Amino acid sequence: MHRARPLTRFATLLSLLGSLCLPGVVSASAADVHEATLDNGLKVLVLPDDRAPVVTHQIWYKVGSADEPGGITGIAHMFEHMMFKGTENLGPGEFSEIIARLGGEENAFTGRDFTAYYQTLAADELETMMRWEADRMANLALDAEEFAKEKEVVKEEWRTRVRDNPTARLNQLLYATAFTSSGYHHPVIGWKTDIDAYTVEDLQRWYENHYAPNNATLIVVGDVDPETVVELAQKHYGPVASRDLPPAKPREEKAQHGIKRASLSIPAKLPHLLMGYKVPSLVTADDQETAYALAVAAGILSGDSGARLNNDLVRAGKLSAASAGYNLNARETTLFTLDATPRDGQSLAEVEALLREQIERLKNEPVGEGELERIKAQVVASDIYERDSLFYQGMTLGMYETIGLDYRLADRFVEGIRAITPADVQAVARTYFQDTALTLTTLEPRPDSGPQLAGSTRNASSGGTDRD
Amino acid sequence: MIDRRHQTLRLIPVALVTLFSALTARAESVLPLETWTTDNGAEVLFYATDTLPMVDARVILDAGSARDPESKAGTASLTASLLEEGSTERDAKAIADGFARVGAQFSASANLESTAIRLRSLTEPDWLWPAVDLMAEVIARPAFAAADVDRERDRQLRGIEARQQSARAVASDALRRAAFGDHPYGHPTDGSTESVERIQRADVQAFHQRYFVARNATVVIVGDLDREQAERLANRLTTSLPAGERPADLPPVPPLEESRTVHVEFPAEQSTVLVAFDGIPRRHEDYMPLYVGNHILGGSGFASRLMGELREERGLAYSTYSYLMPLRAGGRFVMAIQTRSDQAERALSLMIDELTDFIDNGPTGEEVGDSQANLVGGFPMRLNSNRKITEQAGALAFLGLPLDYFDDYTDRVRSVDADGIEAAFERHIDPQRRIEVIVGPDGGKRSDDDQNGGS
Repeated sequence: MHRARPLTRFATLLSLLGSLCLPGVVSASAADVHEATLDNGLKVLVLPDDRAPVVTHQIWYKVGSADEPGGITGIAHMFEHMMFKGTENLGPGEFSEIIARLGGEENAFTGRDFTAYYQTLAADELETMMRWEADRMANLALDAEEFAKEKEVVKEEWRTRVRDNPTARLNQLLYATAFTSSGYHHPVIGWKTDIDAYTVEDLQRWYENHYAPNNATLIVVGDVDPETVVELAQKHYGPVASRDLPPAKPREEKAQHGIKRASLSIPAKLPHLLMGYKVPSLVTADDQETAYALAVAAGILSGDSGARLNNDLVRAGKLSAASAGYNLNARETTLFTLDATPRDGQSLAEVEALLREQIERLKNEPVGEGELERIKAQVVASDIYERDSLFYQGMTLGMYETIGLDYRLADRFVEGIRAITPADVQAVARTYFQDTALTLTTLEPRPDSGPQLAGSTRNASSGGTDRD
Repeated sequence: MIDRRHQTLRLIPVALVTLFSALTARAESVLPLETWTTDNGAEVLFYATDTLPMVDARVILDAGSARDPESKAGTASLTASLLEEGSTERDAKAIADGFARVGAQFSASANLESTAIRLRSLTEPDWLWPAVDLMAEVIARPAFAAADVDRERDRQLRGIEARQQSARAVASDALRRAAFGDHPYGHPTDGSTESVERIQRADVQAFHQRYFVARNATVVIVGDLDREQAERLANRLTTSLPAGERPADLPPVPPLEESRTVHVEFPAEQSTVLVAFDGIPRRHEDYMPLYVGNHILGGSGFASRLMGELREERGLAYSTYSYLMPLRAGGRFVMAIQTRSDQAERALSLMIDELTDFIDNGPTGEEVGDSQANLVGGFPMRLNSNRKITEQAGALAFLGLPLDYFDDYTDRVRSVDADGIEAAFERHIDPQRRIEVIVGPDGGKRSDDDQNGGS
């Protein structure tokens, strides 16, 4: 075990505030991340926060839907569900029952680049969480009957999240169209035919290939002593053997040579346009400044209600709604997206023209110093606000490590954003917002759609009629 | 990113409240709130915490959609969204810039019972006070310019259209109507297309004039300030508000008179099923046994009977749960499930069976013990951030609960037993008297759409 150079996060931040000409900033205690790596390769990050006698315990596996080959898309997510279905030592749901009796909250989440499990509860119960989290890292049962039932649950989840959700379907269409060879092509929840066809053997293989201490990061944030946490981690996770895992295939996205378009005509109420430019992430960018400049560009477009899309388009009465987004925390080439809802009767072609005008503006004129300063102020302040949440602090550390970045980089985010100039934003706009990187998708509602109150009324017991 | 937990469809945020118990000395309050009244009559709650250099300030008004004028449902919501669209002194852009350049986060929105205006700021004086003054300005002196009213009304109408493509939103709106009928709780917060089209600038002005007054306001301040600074903040937030008057209490929610089923045709593979039964207002002596009972039946995620029986045992749903809807003037008890439409009837009847069994036989002693352990043990997570403390303090004040409510909370949780839960459920909830809302395709026909969601 070795300890990282302690980070004086507040000190860094406060000097930034200072450079925004703020005198007499309040003092705050420094929060240090303690780092250790067990012999089996499990990396442990501990961030003490003693505001309440609570701890969040998170384990992040470096595997997500982007690692799935064709035919078993969505299995990372299906597998995540099965992690609650018992081990050689605990019955199905028993870990959850233990957590519930202790008053804890728990959940898990799967993304393109990660699968993570967490519990938040009284700090003195941390060891119990470690014991059973380590247990399911090594001893998962994968019972066929439990799997058959849980597959039905996942199909219901697919119906809720995707099949019956027009904007989610548009989002799937965007990624499936924009990405060809990259693992970002298919949705996190998977294609329905693949969900139908998973087998227990698929799950077993997934477990063996990805769930090992040397492919995971343990994050503990809360009212804890870092030395004790590392000792406990050694006691419970230490005995889990490391394994040689098959190396990930490169699956680099192939070059795009022209604009891509796709449309979706399904029952829905509102037309929608969703477009994305392929851009580098914080991981794939040649330099971090590129990712920070793209993040600033997203802020210029829709960082708050006074940003360009809302102020110049929505407030000006030209669109009904519009936003932009860029997720820089991705392992692979990602998307810078814009989306909008037309006004009543407005064509999607007109919506597209309005959004592309905004893109051209970013390329053709430098953003104003005032616009830039307000984004920087928001980022500086948000960095403090985010510390109000134990879970979020853990999430930031886990995300960075899992996509392949040093967690210390998270602390440089504010500094990185502050260094961005109008010329930087203009430069990334010119470089990346090209038609050869663009995918445009549209949702065009089928006219026969929409809820209608049926004429029939059925009595539940004593009779009655619909009011509407 | 997708997570495993079912999403809950709560019509209102239920004040989840628990407490530190063993962790706190008896003599000391679990949530030591300072409280006072401003000169013009606004109630103030202040919680000092120096753990982060930031402040949350919230103004809560008894001005939810329940106060919408007759036939103009959606007025409260429209009023709230117009606040940041312009004041008598500055336009929307200047307001947005004013908050953004000092790193402040501002929002205003209405729900069923209240309108809340929220500010989050750093404590640095040059950043805090301009944001506070700007918030005071938009609360007290909105311009409600005709063009802004027209545009925001159009956007609210578009929002209502957007809700029509979510089965959950459609079901929730239909349940509101069916379960509360003509009571002021009986319309969706955003109103309907017809009601919103009727709202004029004068309606918004009148709503603002009536309800945005000091005596109708609760100010919650949580953060790194001392008492003197908090008083200054509260004064600056409210000084421009007229004293006004608190509105009269809403009429009590009447019991359900008859059972009925509302079917809403919706193009989907799943049906969304919501069932409402009689309930209680938040300030009711049976609240605690019902709360713990609901926790066992359908309020505690995977630990609940509904999740165990319908999801874990039968794989019928991703999401199923129940909740009390304990409002000021009354409430309903609601059960919910989303499932493939051809099995919706079966899921509904299993849900009713679970409720009937629960009322007939009550929970087991073990279930009660487990739930109590969860509620007591989970306390530290209820108040472990400034945001949660702000929400809980605001809820206490708005609901008229004693400010030392948390201090004997665990005792009250522990005082509940299986017989008490069974008796309380039997007193208030009749499984046969219910409103069913089923949103989905007619007759459970499977869609002929492609299997991969169109992409």
